[in-house]
Amino acid sequence: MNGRSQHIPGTGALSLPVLSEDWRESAMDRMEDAAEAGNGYAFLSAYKGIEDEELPPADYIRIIQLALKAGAHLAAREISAQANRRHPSDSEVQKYARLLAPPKLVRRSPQTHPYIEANHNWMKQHGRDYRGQWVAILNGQLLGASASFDDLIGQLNNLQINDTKDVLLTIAC
Amino acid sequence: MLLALSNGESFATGANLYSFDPVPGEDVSARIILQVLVEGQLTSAVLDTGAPYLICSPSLSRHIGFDGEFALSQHEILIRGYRVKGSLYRINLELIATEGEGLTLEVVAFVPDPDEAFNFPTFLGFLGCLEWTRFAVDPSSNTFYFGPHP
Repeated sequence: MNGRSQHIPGTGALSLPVLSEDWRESAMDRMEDAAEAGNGYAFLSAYKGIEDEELPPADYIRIIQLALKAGAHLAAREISAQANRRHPSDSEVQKYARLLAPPKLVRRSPQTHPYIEANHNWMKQHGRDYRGQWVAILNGQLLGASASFDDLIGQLNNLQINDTKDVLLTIAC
Repeated sequence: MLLALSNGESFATGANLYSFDPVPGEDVSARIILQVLVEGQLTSAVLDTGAPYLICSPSLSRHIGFDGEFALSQHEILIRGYRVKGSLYRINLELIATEGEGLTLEVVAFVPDPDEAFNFPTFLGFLGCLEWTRFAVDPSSNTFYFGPHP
């Protein structure tokens, strides 16, 4: 056992194990080192030592941040869900759990997009001429190109195009 | 024609064209590149099942106006061995259909900080983005098939 059991006063009964401060700090140090080294396996190994323990919300938040830094993205999600089960009223924990939760289907869209094929054909024919530049294409027509995204948006504004939703904005490949 | 399983259940409910080209930069490997809607904005995105999340350039995300209410800022994350600073968001991604139905998903997006010099198209990672989507490619017609996870 990583921690120590405590007597519940007046009952003689033992409570759940309480993680010793030293052990927790040691595990946190190892997770910090693993994250710094970008070593996801070492992070998971360090976390395994404390995963069944009751941790305060701040520790969970720190561990999730370290998981992301270590590249242990699935673990970051699982830890945030576990933290949310244990601390459901903590707003910061809720935020992480909501943000890192699995993707959700929002809706199906019955209509197809009208410009895709024309844009695809433009990219096929001309994309390499603009490789690495931001381009704006509307239904297969080039509206502007620039190395700077902000400059490209300026070009569109000069063309009185302020709503760009239907304009393909991308870096040409 | 969309794809179906042997029991008749649809595997794919939508399909889109993709291009197969290298992304600007040092890596010259050809990638599957699709047109998608990110929060309703048409853009193109590189399929990268080895990376997590949807990764969006800071300038494009600023133009779209990602909702910062639930964002987690100033995070350092490791993607494909590169350490990048940025913010995590929850956003809508639509896989556009040229045949069948489009699919809108709420996914995790990562936006590198402006000083990270990220000048790439959007990337569609697996974890947090496409992981609950069925997909397949037909290289003979450059078609990307997709459907919702049952």
